[in-house]
Amino acid sequence: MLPIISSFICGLLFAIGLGISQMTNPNKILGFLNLFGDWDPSLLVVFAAASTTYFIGYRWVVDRSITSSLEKFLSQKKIIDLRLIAGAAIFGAGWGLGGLCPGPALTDIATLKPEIILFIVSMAAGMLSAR
Amino acid sequence: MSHFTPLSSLFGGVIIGVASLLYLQTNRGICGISSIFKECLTLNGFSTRFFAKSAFILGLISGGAAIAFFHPASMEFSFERPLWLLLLAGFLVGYGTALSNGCTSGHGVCGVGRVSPRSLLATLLFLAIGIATASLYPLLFSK
Repeated sequence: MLPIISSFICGLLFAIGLGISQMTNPNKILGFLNLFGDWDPSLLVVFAAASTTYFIGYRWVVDRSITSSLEKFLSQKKIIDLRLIAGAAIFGAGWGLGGLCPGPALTDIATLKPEIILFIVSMAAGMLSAR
Repeated sequence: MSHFTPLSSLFGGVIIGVASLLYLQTNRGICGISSIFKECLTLNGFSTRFFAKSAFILGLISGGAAIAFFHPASMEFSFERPLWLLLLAGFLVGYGTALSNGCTSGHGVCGVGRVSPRSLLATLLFLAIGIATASLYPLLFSK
């Protein structure tokens, strides 16, 4: 039961973080990704703040038993290969075209915009196609 | 840089980091949203794992609703791209994140936070391609 309740709380908190930083707005994202517009480095600050927070917590806050078994598990999952490189490039292209990635898109379901729903259906189709 | 919002970006980013760490502590996994969503689509049966992943997505949507109520500016936007392009973008995002096993949260936040070489490379790549795509699109097509 704990994983289910805590998952909900984590999702809620994550979305609040996205909303406060306006990462839920694709135009804000494109404001960073498009170098020739009115360039907005906000996304860089979000990334830096989030990854630094995670770095600190990963090393010094989360239980060592959890992080060490996770590291062990993930180290089995390979090296850098074509799937990773091609996948990252393809994802980047999609992100640059729409200004949306999974987290903000799913959070934006709350806007009830039909474009968001359609984006997510398309995203689901893409995920299932990659198996 | 008239739209730069450094303080709310910092604050929001820290919250994202904290949420991801809380997820790690209580669910013992990487807070990668593309993977969480994909598992909702592909897991067989109604296991605790399925309910936990689904609860995360419901949490995201609930958080979105809270933001729409308390901080509506973040949720008020119009799309500056035609629908067919958004559909293409969605498909590429889905396909690419599945292939690389991650997205901006899994690789960009957690993977970079773990100083994982795979994630560092993936993040640099999707940032570079994202920037190239977003910068070239308005130049090639009238907005």
